[in-house]
Order: sequence, then structure tokens, then C-alpha cells
Amino acid sequence: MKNIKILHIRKFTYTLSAVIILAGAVNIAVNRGLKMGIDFAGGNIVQVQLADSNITIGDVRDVLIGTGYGNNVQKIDDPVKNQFILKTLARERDNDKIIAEITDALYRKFGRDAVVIEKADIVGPRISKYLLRSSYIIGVVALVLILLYTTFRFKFRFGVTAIIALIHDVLIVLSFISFFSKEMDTFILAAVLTIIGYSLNDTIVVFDRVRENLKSSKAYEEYIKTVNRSINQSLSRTVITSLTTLLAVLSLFIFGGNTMKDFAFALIVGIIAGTYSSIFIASALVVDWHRWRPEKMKKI
Amino acid sequence: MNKAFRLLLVLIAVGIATWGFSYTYIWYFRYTKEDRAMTNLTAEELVRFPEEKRLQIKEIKKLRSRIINLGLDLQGGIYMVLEPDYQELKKRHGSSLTPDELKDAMRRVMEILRNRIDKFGVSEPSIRTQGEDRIVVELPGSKDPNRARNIVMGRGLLEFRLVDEETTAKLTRDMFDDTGTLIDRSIIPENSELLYLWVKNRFDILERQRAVVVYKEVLLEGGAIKRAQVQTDQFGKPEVTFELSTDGAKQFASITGANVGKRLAIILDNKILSMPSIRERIPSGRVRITGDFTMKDAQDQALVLRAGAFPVPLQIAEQRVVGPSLGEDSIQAGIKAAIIGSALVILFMLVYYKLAGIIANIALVLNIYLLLGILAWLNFTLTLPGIAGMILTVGMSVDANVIIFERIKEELRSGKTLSAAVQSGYEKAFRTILDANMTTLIATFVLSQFGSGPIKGFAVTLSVGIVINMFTSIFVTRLLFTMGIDAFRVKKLSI
Repeated sequence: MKNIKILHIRKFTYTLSAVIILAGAVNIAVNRGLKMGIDFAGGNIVQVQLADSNITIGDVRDVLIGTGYGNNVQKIDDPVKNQFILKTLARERDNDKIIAEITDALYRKFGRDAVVIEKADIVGPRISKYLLRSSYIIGVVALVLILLYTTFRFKFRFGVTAIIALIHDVLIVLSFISFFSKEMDTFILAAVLTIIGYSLNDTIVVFDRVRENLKSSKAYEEYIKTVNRSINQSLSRTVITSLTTLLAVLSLFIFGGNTMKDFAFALIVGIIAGTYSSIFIASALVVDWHRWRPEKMKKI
Repeated sequence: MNKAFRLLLVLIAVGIATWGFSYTYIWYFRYTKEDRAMTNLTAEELVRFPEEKRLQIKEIKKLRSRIINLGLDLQGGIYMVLEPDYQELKKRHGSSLTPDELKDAMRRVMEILRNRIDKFGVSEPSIRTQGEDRIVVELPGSKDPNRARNIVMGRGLLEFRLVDEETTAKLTRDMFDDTGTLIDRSIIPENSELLYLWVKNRFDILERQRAVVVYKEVLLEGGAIKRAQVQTDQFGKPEVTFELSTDGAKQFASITGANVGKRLAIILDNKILSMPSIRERIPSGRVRITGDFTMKDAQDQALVLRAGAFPVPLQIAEQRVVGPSLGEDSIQAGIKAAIIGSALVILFMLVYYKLAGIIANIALVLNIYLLLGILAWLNFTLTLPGIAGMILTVGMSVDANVIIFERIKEELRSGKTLSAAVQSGYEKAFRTILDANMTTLIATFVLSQFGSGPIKGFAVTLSVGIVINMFTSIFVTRLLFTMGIDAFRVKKLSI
């Protein structure tokens, strides 16, 4: 079996991760936070399909401007259908009337039979606050449970590094959401939580190997070598599992329709980050920690 | 555990799943669209059918409660969260409601909504309370969001119809019995019907006042009303004004033009609430109702025009409307992604692990099958995120087998015989698999507690998928391995 010297490039991998996360943080700061979808920011959305493929985004925007509810129109990237998303801010009340006025204006402009309303969503301010609050709670509860599980499952060092790897993955996902100007919504939250579970899963498999191998005193003497060998031993599993999961999620991304695209995107980034961190970051941190303050063998 | 017992356990699981899923299969593949549509009929409509047919429909309806239903995002429909409009409430009452008053009001709102939605005739409508002051209404399969919204908010049942003056004039007191019911219905013409004028008494309760004959033809629906309010004329007398949508204004102009001098009945839930006379043709869509009413009367009228007659004014706090064509697209896309994703994973496993890959693939297919069976048992509502959960299950489910196979490979490399390698491979991998799945289970379990419907669907499918996966990948594949090794006396395995 080949033994790739993975840990030798850890300075490079640390730097790479740091650069991505830093760039993400700067990007998020420059944009004053992540872009929030209507789930968390509140708002109204009308998704409309127009029969006439010659109608441009400008035409639709003019209709929205005509209603006095702003100019936020996006074209949906679809090879066949001419679809647009019209978005307005949410008011304290009467959001249904805003939607009615917009659809009415679209009907008048393009003809009733040439307009299909695909989606008409309202998230009022109270609901968005509620969703945001429950998201925080859900996120915190999930993190606490996972922390508990990790401390119960691992010895202190391994637990801490597993958590660092996990936070690393989440930060990378958030950075990419910001780079690609995706909106945070409940779907992305679901993706992030799934990634938390998935990433820890990957790390556990590698760490299990490390601990198993460190049991002999000879192996303990050659700490770095042993850890490196453990990564190699679980390498094919880590890569294959990520590959099959990626195949499934990629097909969701490509064929699953527009609704699931951003969700699948977050998962793809998360799976890659999770795999990367369990190979290059988590175990590397364990090694560096050991070099800094050697761990007693019986504690492992 | 001996092999026969293991095999029996697997067969039982497959049997239960088959049973669970059979209803779903019958529902979607054996019944026609017409059969399925019949379960949407309301009690009133059912009366028209002969006994035999009704029993049949009842059977179909029973089946319905045991199948995997399609969520709103897949079949199209409306999800609405209603809450009291506190701003309006304060304006009307000057103070907010006490908790008891609010509770009582919400209960009445629920009743009214139930009545209205029963009449709407969609498949499986659902109304439930959420928290103290929210009502969730779900109307799956509803084709026309605007109409549904109008009905829920009360404006769809608000109708403008002309008074049949001729017949109304003929009515005399002795034509009615003590309960106020018309004894001889034959005097009402075919195109008209008898309704009653309802007026609020001094206790603010609607009371039936007198019979009026109105034409059946609905000239205009309440959905056409854009806004309604109370104003005062130059003498300080209150009057109700309302404004119509562009289409509504056109209709109203021709109605009023053709019927000057006649009375127009404003009808909500089959109760006549007022019958103003038409003075002149109204072309602008701006309508004024004047009359001898108090400020309170005028406010009530405006409220009815605006939102129907709820005890508290309601607002839509959240709404998700999915058109039927988008739902159809989503199903197609979801199924396509699921099939292609599974095919890719199966192909990969086959190429990479060869014979052992077949075993993993059997486990994978079984995994999906059991998942569907259990979801059907749970009368689960399948949403697009639910399909995504399944796709993710497919991708992640081979993981356990990958861990096991890699272990077996190592054991083989260290020189063990095949059956010994298989045995120690499974044993060594077990703890890792359990642990690895636990973390994802924790995350998805927490996620399933999230209130929002679609996310819940994702979390539940993924959680159930993971649990089943542990069963199939550890238990079932091991059984297949040992059975295969024994039966074919395999000494070497391509893995």
C-alpha cells in the first residue's frame, strides 16, 4: 500500500484553508453580512413564467417598478422556460395585496393567458423573526449535542480538533455562499447542519484509525508517521464515500430543479470541505498539538 | 444468530415494507385520476351518489390515509399562516384583546375557516393552530391561488347579486311557517333563490331579519374589491366606499349601467348583509354606499367588504403558493435526480468493488425500498427536500459498505482466509459505522424539530434512511456474504 506523505504539506493546507476563510470573512464583511433570503429577512416573491420568450428582464422590471414596489427582478436560468422572480420587501400587513397587485399588473401587461404564476410566497416580519430565532436555537442545540457526543466519544484533544475541523467546514461553506452571492434560507441551514454531521463522520473514521494504531508503543514513538499511516489507511474509504455522496448530490444539483440548486450547492461545497479537512486539517492539528505538548500514551 | 433466523428477519422487514408500500402503489398506479379525484368530494356532494358508489368512495378514502402523499411543493397548492391583524384590531377596539378573548376569537375563526374550506373541495385540506395566535391552512392541489386566498380570507364568498324585486314583492308573511321557512317553494323562479337579510342586533350578533329573493347569477365576487373604508360625507354622515380592481371595475360599470334603480345584494356566506340601490352607472370602479347607518354599521360593512366576517381581522403572516405546473416540474426533476444519482452510485460501486459491489447494491436497493415502505407506514408527506433526503441517503448509504469492504480488503491482504476476513472486517467496522452514523443522526434529529414543513421532510427521510441503512449495510450484506460464500464455496472474492 502506498503511503502518501500527507502531513508533510500541512503548512500549505493550513494556509489554503486560512486564505479561503479569510477571503470569505472579508467578503461577508464588505457585503455587510450574508445575503438573507425571504425566510430570514421577510419579503414577498412572485415567480412567473411568461409564454412569450422575447420578454426581457427589463420589461418585467418595468412592470414591477410600475406597481411602486421596487425593482428587484431576477431571471431564472432555464433553457426552455422564460421565468422571472419578482421580489419585494415585506410590510407589517397586507402583503397579500402587494402580491395581488403585482400579478394583476403582470396580467394586464402581458395578457392573462400568457402569464403563469408559479410561486407566490409571503414571509411577514413576525414569521421571519421567528424563523431566524428558531434557526439560531436549532443551530446551537445541534452544536451542543455534537460537542457533548464528541467529548463523550473522544479524548479531549481529538474532540477539540474534530470540532475545529467542523467549524472549518461550516466557515468554508458560508464563505462560498458569500462568494457566489447565494441567499441564506432554511434550506441552506438544513444543508449546513447536514454537513456538520457528515464532516464529523469523516473525521471520526480517521481518528478511530489513529487511536487504534497509536496503541503500540513503537507506533507512539513515531507519532507523525503513525498518524500519517492512519490517514492513508482510511484514505480510500474517505475518498470513495465522498465520491458516492458527491455523485448523488451532483445529480441533485444538475437535475433536481431550481428549488434545490442552492441547497445542493451548499452540500457539494460542504462535502468537499469535510473530506479535505478530515484528511488535511484534523489529523494535522492533532500532530501539531502533540509536537507542542506531547500527549501521554496512556491517555490516548 | 443463525442464518435462517437472520434471513427470516430480513424477509419480515421486506414483507412489512411491501405491505406498507402496497397502498401507495395501488393509489398512484391502480386507481385512475377520476377515482382519486372522488375523494375530494364534500359530504354534500356525496349525497348525490348511490349507496354502493358511496361505499366505494369511502374505501378509497380509507386507503388515502395509508399512503405517501405528495407535498404542496410537488402537487401544487397553498400553505398559509394567518394571524390576527393587531394593528387593525387596535384601531377598531381601541385596546388589544385579553388572552381569553383572543382564545375565543381564534376558536371562532377556526370554525368559520373549516366551514369555508369544506366547501372548497380540495384534497385533504388541513387547518390547525400553531402557537397561541396562528392558524395554518394547507390546501394541497388547489389550482387557483387567488381564489383560494379569497375564500380563506372571506372575500371569495362575498358576492354581489341582484335582488329579484318582482318575486320579493310577492312574498307575504303567511307564506312562511313559524320557523320562517317558506312553505311553498314553487313561487321562487328557477333562476332565483330565497335568502335572508341579516342585521346585527344591539348585542352585536347577526340576526335573521327578513326573506329576500335574489337572482342566482353572481355578478361580481368579493375578490374584485381592492380596498374598502369608511368616510364621512359633507354632513358628517358615515358612508362606505370601496374600490375595485381593473377587471372588476369594468364588470361593475356594465352591471350598474344595466340595472339602475334596482337593488344590489351584498352576500357573505349566503347571508345578505345589505342591499343598496343602484343610483347610476359607476364607471370608475370607485363605489360609495350611502344610507342611514351608524358609524359602527359602516365600519362593519367596510370590514366585511375588506376581509369577510371574522371576529378578528386576519393577516397573512406567511404564504407559500406553488402552481401546479411548477409542482409537476419539481416531481419530474426530483425523480430524474434520484434515478440518475442512484444509477451513478450503483455503477460506481459495481466498477470499483465488482462482485462485492453487487452485494452493496442489493443493500442499496433494499434500503430505498424499506425507506419507502416505512414512509408509507408513517403516512408521510413527500416533499422535494424529502426526495433530496432520499438522494443523500443513497449517496451516504454505501459508506458503511465501503468501510466494511476496505476492512475486508486489508484483512485479506494480511493473509486471512476469505470467511475469516469477512468476519473480522464486519466486526472491526461495526463500531466505526455506528459512530459515524450517530453524528449525522444527531444533526438530522435536531433538524427534524425545526418547525418548517419542507425542512422537516428532509430531516425525517434522511434520519429514517440512515437507520435503515445501518440495518441493510451491516446485517443484510453480511448475510449475503456468508450465504454466498457457503453456497458457492467461494475461496476468492473480487473486491
